[in-house]
Amino acid sequence: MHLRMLGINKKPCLREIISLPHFDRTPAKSLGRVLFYGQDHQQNNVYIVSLGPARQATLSALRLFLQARGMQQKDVLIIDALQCVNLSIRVGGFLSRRCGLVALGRHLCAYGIVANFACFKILLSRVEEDMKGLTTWRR
Amino acid sequence: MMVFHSKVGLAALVAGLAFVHKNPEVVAVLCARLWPQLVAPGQYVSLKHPKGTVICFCSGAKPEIVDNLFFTAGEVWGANHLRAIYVQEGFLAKWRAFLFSKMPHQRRLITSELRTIEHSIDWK
Repeated sequence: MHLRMLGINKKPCLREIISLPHFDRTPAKSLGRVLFYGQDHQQNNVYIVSLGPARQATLSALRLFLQARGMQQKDVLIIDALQCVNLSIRVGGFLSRRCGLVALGRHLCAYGIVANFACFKILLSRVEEDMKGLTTWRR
Repeated sequence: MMVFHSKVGLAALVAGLAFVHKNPEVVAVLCARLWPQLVAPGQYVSLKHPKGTVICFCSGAKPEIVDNLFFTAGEVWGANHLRAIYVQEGFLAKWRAFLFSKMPHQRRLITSELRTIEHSIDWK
């Protein structure tokens, strides 16, 4: 949504969500990998990372890394998107990634995102508010 | 910068201390003193080394995720000066570390960690 791969005013269809890059395609052994996702309209780089079950440790490691890299808090914005994850997305993810029921799980996951679209929209508006204090940082 | 990480943090702390202070006596004393700072996943201890900083990190139940993060973040953001090393812990490490922090004279509690220190690790 932030990169405008999905419309922000209209609810996307399941196909649009399923066709997003990396959507429900991260194997369990790749959890924690930092992936470059694109550049937004303000030339900020956007990255995605799955924190996995040990969220606290992974997040702390990410902060530690950024600190070691010499980045300050105003240079980077870490958004926790888990707050918008509902039961349908969780069950869908479990079926697809853990049980191997990819077709069912992926669709259930996409359905959960469409159903909870309002939450993602609120999250996006908060991010854009927070971005006002952010300095542009290129790759 | 060098990051040693392990599930409980004990092996990471011992490895980090051994890397900075080569003397096992000093390692044992500092280990008992510093381990209480590593009780929860995500906590870390920072040590000074003449060539840079050594971090001892408690990575929790899934150290491979932390390993993935350090590895790919280094690739994406070009941090070639950072090296993350996972150190395996011995049996019941959390309990042994807890007891050792209370009884620092009982060095046999951390014998397995002291034994597995790799002195051949180079600074990157």
